[in-house]
Amino acid sequence: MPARRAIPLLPRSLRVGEEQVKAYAELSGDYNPLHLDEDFARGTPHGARIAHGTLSLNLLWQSIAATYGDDAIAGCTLEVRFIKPVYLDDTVITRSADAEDADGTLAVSVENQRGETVISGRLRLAA
Amino acid sequence: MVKPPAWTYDGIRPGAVLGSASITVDNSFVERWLRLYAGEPDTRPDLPAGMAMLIVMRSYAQAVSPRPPGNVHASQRLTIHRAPRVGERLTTTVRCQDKEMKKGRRWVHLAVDTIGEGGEPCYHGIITSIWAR
Repeated sequence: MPARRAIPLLPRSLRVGEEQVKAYAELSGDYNPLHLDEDFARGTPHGARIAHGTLSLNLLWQSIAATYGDDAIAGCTLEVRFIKPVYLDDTVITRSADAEDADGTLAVSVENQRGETVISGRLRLAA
Repeated sequence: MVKPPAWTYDGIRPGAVLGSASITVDNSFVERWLRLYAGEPDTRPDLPAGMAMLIVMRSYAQAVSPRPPGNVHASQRLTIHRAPRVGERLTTTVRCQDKEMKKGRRWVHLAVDTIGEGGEPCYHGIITSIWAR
């Protein structure tokens, strides 16, 4: 069977507000004060509360599932780096290259509303 | 009840299992996920693929607890072996793959494996975090 070819991801976006951060803390069980406590976050290098990194990362998986279908996800590997924090009231959107590279992986990313990359990574589809 | 001490960088040993956690994702949990991500209602027997990272993170949060406040995720790798079924009991084990000091920061690399009922692999991931202390 020939290897599946990567195609550009269907974009997905999410406004990351107070409601989303609280809902994600409850879903993930991650109550890190960096995400939930303004006073604590003010004393960190970020200077303000930031969203959970995986809140935006999940959006990439949503894009992958929307593009290839849930049934095609088995065997996929997604490797990412968190480049920049996502602050409350940012809007994030998923992006990808138009085609896979020679190594068979597709460059994928999440950007904020200023066009800054907040997550960068590579997707390898199942053989 | 006395709270256990938080996992510190010094207390994490490469190769050691930090903990494991079992969770069962029911339909109401899936509905909360779909509300957050504005997903379409899903009546399939399998969990939405987009939930994979959430399952791993929720299990990690339970298995490695408490953690020092202020930890930051730096990178992640996740392979999906199969989508679990709604209502399936999932067990995740978190093991320290490695740790290192770089430019004064405490980097911890954790290997995370989620298996379903019968021991069939669902997810395998590497979570790299900068540990707060």
